[in-house]
Amino acid sequence: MKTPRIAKAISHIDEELVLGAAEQKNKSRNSIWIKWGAVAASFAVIVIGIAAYPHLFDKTDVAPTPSGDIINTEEQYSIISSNGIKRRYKSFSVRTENAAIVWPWEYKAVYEKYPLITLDGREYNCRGREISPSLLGSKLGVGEAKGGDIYEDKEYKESFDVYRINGVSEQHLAAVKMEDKYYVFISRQSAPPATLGELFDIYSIPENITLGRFSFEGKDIEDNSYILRNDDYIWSILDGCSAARAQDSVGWHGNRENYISFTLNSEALGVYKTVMYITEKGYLWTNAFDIGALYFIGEDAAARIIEHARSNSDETEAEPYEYTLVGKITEIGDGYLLLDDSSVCADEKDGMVFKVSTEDIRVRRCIEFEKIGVGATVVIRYDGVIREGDLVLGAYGMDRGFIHDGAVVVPE
Amino acid sequence: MDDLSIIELYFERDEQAIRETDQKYGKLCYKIAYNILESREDSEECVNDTYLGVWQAIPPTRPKSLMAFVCAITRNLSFKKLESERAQKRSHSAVVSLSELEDILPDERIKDSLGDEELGRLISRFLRRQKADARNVFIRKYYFFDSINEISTRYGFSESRVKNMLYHTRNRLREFLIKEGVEI
Repeated sequence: MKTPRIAKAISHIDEELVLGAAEQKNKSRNSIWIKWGAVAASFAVIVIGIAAYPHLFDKTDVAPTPSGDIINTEEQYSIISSNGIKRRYKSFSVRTENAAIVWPWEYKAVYEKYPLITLDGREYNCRGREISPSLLGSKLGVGEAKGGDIYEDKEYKESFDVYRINGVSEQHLAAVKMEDKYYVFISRQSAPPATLGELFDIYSIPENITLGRFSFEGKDIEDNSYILRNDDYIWSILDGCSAARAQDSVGWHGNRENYISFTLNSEALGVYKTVMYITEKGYLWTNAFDIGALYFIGEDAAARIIEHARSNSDETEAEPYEYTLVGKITEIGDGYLLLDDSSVCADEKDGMVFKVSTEDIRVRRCIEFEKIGVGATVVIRYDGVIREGDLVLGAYGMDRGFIHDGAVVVPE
Repeated sequence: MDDLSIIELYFERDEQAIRETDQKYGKLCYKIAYNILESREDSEECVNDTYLGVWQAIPPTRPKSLMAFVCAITRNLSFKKLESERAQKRSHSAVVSLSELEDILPDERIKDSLGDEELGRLISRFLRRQKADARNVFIRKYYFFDSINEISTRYGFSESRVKNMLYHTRNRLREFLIKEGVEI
C-alpha cells in the first residue's frame, strides 16, 4: 500500500500543534519521581535537581523511579540545605510534574515566545539566561523572530536588537535585547570545533569561566565536592593542549575510568551549571555549548590537572542543580505567596513560612492559569537568595503535589 | 526525566537516553505504530527502529519537542512498514484514514515540486486557522491515527460529531490547499 503524500506531510506539521493535540483533555503529565529522603540524608542537600544534571555517566544511584510509584524510605528524617537554610524534613520522595504545558501566549516569558532568532541568515537559540549590559559590545543588527499562539491561532513576528558579547565570536554567541533585558543566544551547530584551541578561542573560555567547584568521580572514586583555590595553572595546562582534536564521542563512556568533574558557570556565555570532565585517560569532555564536545588532551596533561586540583582545593558542601522549597501555600497576595513547610518537617513545630516572590511570569502563570491556590502542596524552584524575613527571591518555577503516605505526589 | 535532560543525554551519547525515551514515550510510540499496523510484532519493531532513528538524528538535531519528534519518526517508519510487503497485515482503520487523506488531494494532483515538508508547513498554517476542537480532532485522527471511538471518548463528543468534524475539516483543507496553489 502506498502512503498518500498528505499523510507523509502531516508528519511535518508543527510540533506545537502535535503537543496541543496530545495534551488537550487528557492532559499529559509525564512525571519525574525524585528520591528525596534517602538520598538527601547522605548528601545533605536537596536532590530535586539531580535529574537535570547533564551526566554522561551512569547514575543508577539516584535514578528516578518509574512514574506512578510512591517511594517509602526507611530513613526517619533528612537534613536538607536549601541555599544555606537547614531544614529537617521527613523522609519522603517528591514527585514533580513535568507537564509539557503549552502556555497561552500571555503566560509565556518573552524568550519563550521567541526562542529562535534569525540575524543575517544565521539562527540563534535562546539559552534562557540573562546577561548584564556591562558584558556587551556593539550592536550587531536587528534580528527577526516568530512566535505562535496555538490557543488563539495567531502568529507573531517581532524584531529585536542583537548585540555582540565582549570577547566572544558573534558567529557563535550573541545577546538579544527583549523587554529591557538581555538574553544569551547561541547559534545552531552540528559539530564541536575541530580543536580545543578553537573551542577556547570562540568562547574565550579561560577569560569567561572560573573553575571552582569540582568533584572526583568515576569507577572507583567517591563523589565528594571540592572548591579550587586558583585555576590559573589548570588553564595554562589546557592552553598547551590547544591542538587537541575533537573526538567522536559516540560510544565513549567516561564512567569506565576515574575523572574530575568541574561545574561550569558563566554569565557571559549563558552557561549554568554545565560540566567539564577531565578523565585519567586523557579526555576532556564538556556539554557547555549545546553539543557534547570531546577532546583528547593526553594522559600527562590530565594527570597534572587532576593532581593540581587534588593539592589545591578544599572540601565543600555539595551544591544542588537548583534550589527548591516544599510546602503548602497558605496565602497568595500581590506579588508574593506564603509557603509553609511544616507539613514536611520531621517536627511540625520546626516549620517555617517563606514569602516567595511571584513576580516571575513562570510562577505567576501556575497560579493564574494552572489555578494552583491556597492549600496546595507545591515545590518551588528558585535561583536567587533567601533574605531576612525568609523572603525567597528568584523563584522561577512551581510544581503542584499532594502529601500521601509520606510522599509528595503530583496527581495525573 | 524531562525532555531537555533526555535530549542532553543524546548529545552526550549516553544510552540511558534511549531507556528514558522508552520509559516516557514508548507506549505512545507503540500506540501510533499499532494504530497504523495493527500488528504487535511489526509495531514493536517500529518502536525499536524509532529509538535507533532518534539516536542517529540527535545530535545534530535538537528537537523543540522530543515527543513530537519521536512520534514523527514512529509514524514515518510505520508507513514504510505498511508499504512493505513484509507487513503482517494492515489496520482497516488506518487504511480508511489514509484513503480519506488521499481523497483530500490525490498524489497525482499535487505539484511534484512541492516537498513533503513544505506541504506540512501549509497544513500547519491551515490547522492554526481552525477552531481548537476541530484541529485537535483532526490531529488525533490523522497524526496519531486514533479511532473514532477513542476520539469521541477523549473529547466527550458523539462519534457522529467527530465524523462530521473530520469531514468538514478535510473539505476545508482541500479548499485551502487548492487556493494555495498546491494542485497541478
